[in-house]
Amino acid sequence: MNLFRAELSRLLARRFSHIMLIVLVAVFGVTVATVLSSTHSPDAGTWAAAEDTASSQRNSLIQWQANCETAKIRGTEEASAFPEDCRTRDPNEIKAGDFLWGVFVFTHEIRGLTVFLAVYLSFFGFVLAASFVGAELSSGGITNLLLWRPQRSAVLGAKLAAVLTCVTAFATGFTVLYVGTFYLIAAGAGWVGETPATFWGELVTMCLRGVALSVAAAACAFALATLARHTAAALGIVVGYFLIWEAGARIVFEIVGALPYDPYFLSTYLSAFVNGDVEYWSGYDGSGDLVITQLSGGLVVAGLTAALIAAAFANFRRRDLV
Amino acid sequence: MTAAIEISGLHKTFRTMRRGERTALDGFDMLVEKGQVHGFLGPNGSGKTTTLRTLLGLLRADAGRMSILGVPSSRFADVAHRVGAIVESPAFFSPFTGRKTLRLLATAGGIPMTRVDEVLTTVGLRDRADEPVKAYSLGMRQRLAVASALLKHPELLILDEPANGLDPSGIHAMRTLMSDLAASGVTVLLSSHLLSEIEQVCDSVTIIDRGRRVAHGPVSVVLAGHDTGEHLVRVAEPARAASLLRAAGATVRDADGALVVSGLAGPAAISETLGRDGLWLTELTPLTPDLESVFLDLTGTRPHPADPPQIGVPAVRDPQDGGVIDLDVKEAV
Repeated sequence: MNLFRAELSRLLARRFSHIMLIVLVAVFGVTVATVLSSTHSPDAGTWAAAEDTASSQRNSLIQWQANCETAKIRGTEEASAFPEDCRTRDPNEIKAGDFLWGVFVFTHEIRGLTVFLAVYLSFFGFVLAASFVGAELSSGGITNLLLWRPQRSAVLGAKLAAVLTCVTAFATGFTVLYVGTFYLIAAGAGWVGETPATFWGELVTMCLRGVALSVAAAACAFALATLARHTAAALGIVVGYFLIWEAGARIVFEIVGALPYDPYFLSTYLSAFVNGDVEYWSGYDGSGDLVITQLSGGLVVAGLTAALIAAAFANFRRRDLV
Repeated sequence: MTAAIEISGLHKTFRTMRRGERTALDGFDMLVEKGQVHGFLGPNGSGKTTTLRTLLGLLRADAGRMSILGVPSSRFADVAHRVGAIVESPAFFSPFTGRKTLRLLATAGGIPMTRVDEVLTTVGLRDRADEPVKAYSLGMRQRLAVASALLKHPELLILDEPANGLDPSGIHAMRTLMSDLAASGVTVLLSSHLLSEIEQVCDSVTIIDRGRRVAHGPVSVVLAGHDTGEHLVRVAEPARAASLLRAAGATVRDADGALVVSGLAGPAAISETLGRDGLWLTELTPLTPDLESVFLDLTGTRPHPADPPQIGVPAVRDPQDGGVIDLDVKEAV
């Protein structure tokens, strides 16, 4: 516990941590400013226009469903142009709130914004954790501590616990601030939308998955920097992976027509974990769309994190510290 | 007397993809007895820091046995609270003040905070303790490093180049500190390049060269082992004096107008030999070796203007006996 407190104190005092925090807040500020500059409170005219559009859309859908059912009953050639089920969507689901142009609607936008937040917090966690251990390993600072506590796993574990605690606490607090800010913007200068209990339930679990992803990113970064002994090496591994595999190999798969390739990319599983099940097209063989579930995405994230951490600790226990 | 540190047959080879294999320690032995101040000498790259790092568990030995305060070094954790150590110049967290750096270490080691102020005073940093480490000079960082090693009230203190960057006053204070610690029963292993300091402070020494022990024991014994019995002689007629001394069975070399004489029974024999023929001495000085000359001879690092010694490579050696050519004195013609 003493070691943990010492590490926590070091992490919070690092200038790099402060810079990362400032950058994070600055990006948040820009996002908020952009949203504020492009939204306005819907007045009666805006609502009337939105209601007109919604009504028109409802009527179009009702007409389309009637045509679909008629074609099915008559068995005409046109029937093949329609889906099997003509009533996949209820016309009453079309609401005026869907057509409030130039208005920030919380319930419509917050999901995408939360995905953005998860990505950004993960980047923050990754860089923070990689630099925290990388700087100590490359400068020799960790050897000084090991002369005091010659228990490598305990020293590395305290460092990991400190950085994960910080990332968890910060990501949670920042997520609350982030969602709360956009809610207040919508309430004051836009429209909140309909927020049943299911909406809040889904939003909370999505936010928690975002926090979990940032913690996993921090843990992976910590492990990579420990294995490679430098902050830059950990960043290089990740940049290299995304450039060579996620971008380069994806292009090659496209060119040679090797489908489906989505399961071979980590980003697919990350997306499935945070954003929900990912459907991908399996080609012309008639097998239909395939799905990478949120659960399998979560298992891949957890498995990768656990494997990297285990490798880092095993390596650190045996390594020469020069 | 029991051993505070015992090392035997220590081997360590570094293997890298680019540079291949490099043997740092090649069967090294060392014995440091409790209550002593033991000097650990060797040229750059000879294996001093590798030895200390291996002893403290930072490097894994390929072979050999090590014990520290009576327990195998593999169980160093059991005695770590009794050992204070600095290896090279420790990297401190620069935004923290000196006091906070020590307080954090004390927190990690379960040491009372009052001890922090005590060691800050001991190393002379009390009045600068609340400045960030990044504002410290090299010498001040070194003092902080020594303070961190002293925090635990150690029974064994291992200091790797503690005088690095210290000013003369700091070196004097460090010497006094070592003496005081030794007087209070602390065993000190002191690795240093400051040979005069080692000679003044240490009871015993180990000299390492290219991973092997080349000399060890009490300082006086090591020096006596290299005492050639030579005397510096100055007379009015050095050429005639050299002939007379050679005739009496002495070995004589010329040293910038003086003579270096060995092989006679002692200074009285030299004086008598020359006095018989009316040659009167103007100087007769025994040439006792100092630690520096012993070190330079044993490690082959005596500098040569035309061929400066290179790290890990022996200096110019006499091909006849494998020893180092003494460049300060030439064979008398």
